[in-house]
Amino acid sequence: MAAEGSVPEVGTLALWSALVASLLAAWSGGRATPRPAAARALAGLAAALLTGAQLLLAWAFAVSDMTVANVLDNSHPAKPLLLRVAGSWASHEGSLVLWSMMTAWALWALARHMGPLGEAGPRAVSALALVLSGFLLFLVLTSSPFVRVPPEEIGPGFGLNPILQHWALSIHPPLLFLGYVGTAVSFAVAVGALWVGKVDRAWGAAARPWVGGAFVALTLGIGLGSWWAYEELGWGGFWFWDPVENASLLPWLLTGALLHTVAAVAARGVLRRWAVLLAIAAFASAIFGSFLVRSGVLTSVHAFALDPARGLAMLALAGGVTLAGLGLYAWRGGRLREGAPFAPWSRDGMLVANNVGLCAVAAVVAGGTVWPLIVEALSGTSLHVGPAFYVAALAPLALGIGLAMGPGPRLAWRRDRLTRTLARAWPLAPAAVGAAGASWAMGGGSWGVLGFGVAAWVLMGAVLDLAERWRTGALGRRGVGAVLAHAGVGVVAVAVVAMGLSSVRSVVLGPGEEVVHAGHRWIVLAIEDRTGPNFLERGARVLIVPEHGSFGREIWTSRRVFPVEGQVTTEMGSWRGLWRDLRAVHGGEEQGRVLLRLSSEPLAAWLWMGGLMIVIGAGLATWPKAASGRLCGEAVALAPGKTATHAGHRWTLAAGNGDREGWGVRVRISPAHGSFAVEVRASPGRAGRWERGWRVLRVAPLAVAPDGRFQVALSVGVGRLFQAAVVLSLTGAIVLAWRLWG
Amino acid sequence: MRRRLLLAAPLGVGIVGVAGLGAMMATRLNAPAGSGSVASPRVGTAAPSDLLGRPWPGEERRALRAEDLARPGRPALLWFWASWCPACAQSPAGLAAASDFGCLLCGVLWRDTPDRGAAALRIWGDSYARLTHDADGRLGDVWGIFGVPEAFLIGPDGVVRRRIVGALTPERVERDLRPWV
Amino acid sequence: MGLTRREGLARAIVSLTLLPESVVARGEELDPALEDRARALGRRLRCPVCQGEPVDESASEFAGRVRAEVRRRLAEGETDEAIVAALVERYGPAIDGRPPSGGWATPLWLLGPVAVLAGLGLAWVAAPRRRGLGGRR
Repeated sequence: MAAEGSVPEVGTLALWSALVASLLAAWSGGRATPRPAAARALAGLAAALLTGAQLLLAWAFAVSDMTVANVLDNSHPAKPLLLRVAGSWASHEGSLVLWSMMTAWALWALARHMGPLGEAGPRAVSALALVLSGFLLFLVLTSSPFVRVPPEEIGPGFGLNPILQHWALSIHPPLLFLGYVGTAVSFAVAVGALWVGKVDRAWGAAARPWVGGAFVALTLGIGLGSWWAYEELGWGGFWFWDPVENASLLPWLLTGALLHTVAAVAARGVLRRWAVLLAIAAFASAIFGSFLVRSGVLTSVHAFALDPARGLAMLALAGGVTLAGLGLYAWRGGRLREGAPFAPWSRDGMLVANNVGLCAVAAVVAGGTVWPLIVEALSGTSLHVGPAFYVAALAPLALGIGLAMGPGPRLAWRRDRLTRTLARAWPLAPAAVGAAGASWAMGGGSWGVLGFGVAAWVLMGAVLDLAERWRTGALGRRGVGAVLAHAGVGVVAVAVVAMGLSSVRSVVLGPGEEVVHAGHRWIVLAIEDRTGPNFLERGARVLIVPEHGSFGREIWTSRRVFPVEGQVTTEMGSWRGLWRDLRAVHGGEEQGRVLLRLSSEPLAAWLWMGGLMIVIGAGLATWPKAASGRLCGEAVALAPGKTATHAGHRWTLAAGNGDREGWGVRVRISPAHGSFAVEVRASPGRAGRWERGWRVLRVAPLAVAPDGRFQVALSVGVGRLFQAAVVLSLTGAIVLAWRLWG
Repeated sequence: MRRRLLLAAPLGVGIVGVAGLGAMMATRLNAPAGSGSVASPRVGTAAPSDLLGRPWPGEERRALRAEDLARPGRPALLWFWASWCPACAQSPAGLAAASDFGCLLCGVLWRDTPDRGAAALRIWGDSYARLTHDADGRLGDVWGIFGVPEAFLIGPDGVVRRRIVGALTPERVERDLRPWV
Repeated sequence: MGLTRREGLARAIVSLTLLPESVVARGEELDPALEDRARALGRRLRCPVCQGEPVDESASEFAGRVRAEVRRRLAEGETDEAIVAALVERYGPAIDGRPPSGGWATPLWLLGPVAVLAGLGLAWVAAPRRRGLGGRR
């Protein structure tokens, strides 16, 4: 079926059609009188075509159609089906198809939800469609995955490395691409606003979900990659400052800064130019990062190889898009109104400091990655920039950002007083000093002490934020999300410092022998041979028992040989726990005794938990709010004193203030069969809420009718208590799954 | 005026950055593509030829000589291998391909014995022009190998052109070695 | 069915003893001062084939060889810097875990502070005009 089938040709047709569709979509959105409906339809068409192309490619991999060059180079019939399909996006060409497909879906989503963006909506759609067109053009002209193999070259596939055959590695690239697509959307939304010359609070609120989505995807993608490395490579490392890792870190840093900036624009209309520039920079870092990885300029375990001509084409694409954005800023940036001035010691000032700090971190990471290449081009000297440099150069910056994160989230906008901050944020210092002192007493080195102190400072900052929000009643979903995310950063910081204190020991043990390490007895039970689906292995069964306890865990560590690929891998055994991970890595055998590398990684689980906290927190903080009254509930017009019945409650308009400047209503809600009532206030943009048990009763004012009545939307929804219960049970389920699996 | 400058500054920085990257790419336009090369201090220098290992017993005819590594007009492939190395078992076809397009194939048996090496060659095939034995690994140390298999492509001028780590398949030879000859 | 020749070879490889130097993690015991230096160098040197793991901790065969080499050279009386330089000459600069310093590396170290100062300065200069909040202009 494969040789005669025209699946690859159909795929190529789909790619070209998608290119035409996206160009037309760009035109529909970008013309003088935009046509949103047409843009939406064309975006949907492009998305459908690219999904078809991706499915066709996946099919070619699934059936191992070796007449397609991409399949020949990257697959092997002996690989399990799921991994074969995952191989469809593992190569440069395949990954571009996946990226384009995701961009097309994002384009369609943006086209469907461009309402909140106002005038900038169609322009943003147009910008994203232009970006998509650029990628598709590059794809069809230089990197089509549907190229056929000349008949004489057809053979068995060239497979993938068995080390890379892990489920986490299959979804790590798609997640990262999702994040990069998110930066593309943020870029388009910013460019759209520049185009119409208006960046205001409404834009900020509209852009926030897209930026949040990008940040969540990037955090998940990077976190998953790190987790895989930690689990697979066995020695406890989870970040290696590899150029390709750095290339994914840059968009994450800049999108993080963008997230805070967009939230500030939405809340107060400040930092508008920061927002636009950061959006352009985040996207630029994503595409330039990918360009670097694929251009052959870098050597890395990750790097794809391309010929320099293709690398130049990618540089043209990346450079073109970036310079277009910056050029638009130079041309139209003057039209943006400035936000209100602010003093340095204020929330605005802290956000600026945060942005500067994150951008400086990004500059150092980018510099460390690119500088050796420049030095080599200029002088031929071979400069090696490794983890030691990054840790040393970034530690002060991270410290500064951490310090800002303590009091920062609670500072007042525009201007705050230092004395007031000291009065409110006094617990920060004791927490930091206490943690530092405790770790010093337990024998930590100077960096460890400092690290724990700053991590405690950040955590206490999150606690203070939560406390004050609770106190002032401003504890909404967004607030909880922000607190959770910041606490997650603190947890990650604690974990990073703790894992630097891991203890390692190499021993040679025979069956029945044991050793004591890290408070546990490690006993080699037996050395055995085992067989797997495509490998043979020989390893040791090790029993780990706490020194002062009786319930232990048996783990298995081995060396595996894959005869077909000719590879030898080492599989480590680990006992994952909440407070530490214990691991044994097989290091070879000598005369019936096995060399084991034993290690204990303190607080390893906290690293991943903190990452999840950041993801969930960012998601909570940026998920778009249902537009008042539109999605649910009943819209009624009430005059003062009148009552409506809805959802088993009586809603009475107690008073309404119909001033044009800032109108609002007070509504009394009482249950149909009850005698008490609760009064809520509501104003446009601020629905009144009554948390009643599992439910929440909402009043959203819509408009003032000319006859003096007030249009309000009444609705009953899922209350905070219920949401919290869901979150807690999910968390409990995750922890339970962890305990069972670890 | 100051405002104009501030607005145009990001664009200026962007142009400089893109131009710089473009220049860097352009300097590499003539270099052939390919992955799998590992940075090595030996690449770009003259091939070290003071240490050559010991000839195999019975194969003195094929002993490695200093001038093999700097033979005018003829590239050489210095291939470090061992009988206990699985990836070496994947490489005979690639080695034959390298030999076919004109490389002087020099095999260094690393940390192994000629008996086992000869047994392996009987199974895998023998297309070597030169065979030498590095029992204690000192020759490998001079070349800075991490393990086996590793290959160094030495040009006709005696300068080391490329270092390849891992199994040598014919398509790898085509992609990663031929363009550098 | 019985093992194919390939599988037999694979089994042999898996159960093969590794070479003595790499199995015995420490090699010969040196006197305490040299042992301390050996450990310190082991923590400084990074294994290029195992993602930058410290040589002292790595179970890989290459790391074992490097540890043995370090001890051999220490026993012969070489200085720490000479040993590191010899290993760098052999395996490339990636094996030295110390961050680069001096010469071409200086601009890189300055990048962080410069970026912070430049960023804060730009933010100050480009900030919206302050009126009555105590800023300049």
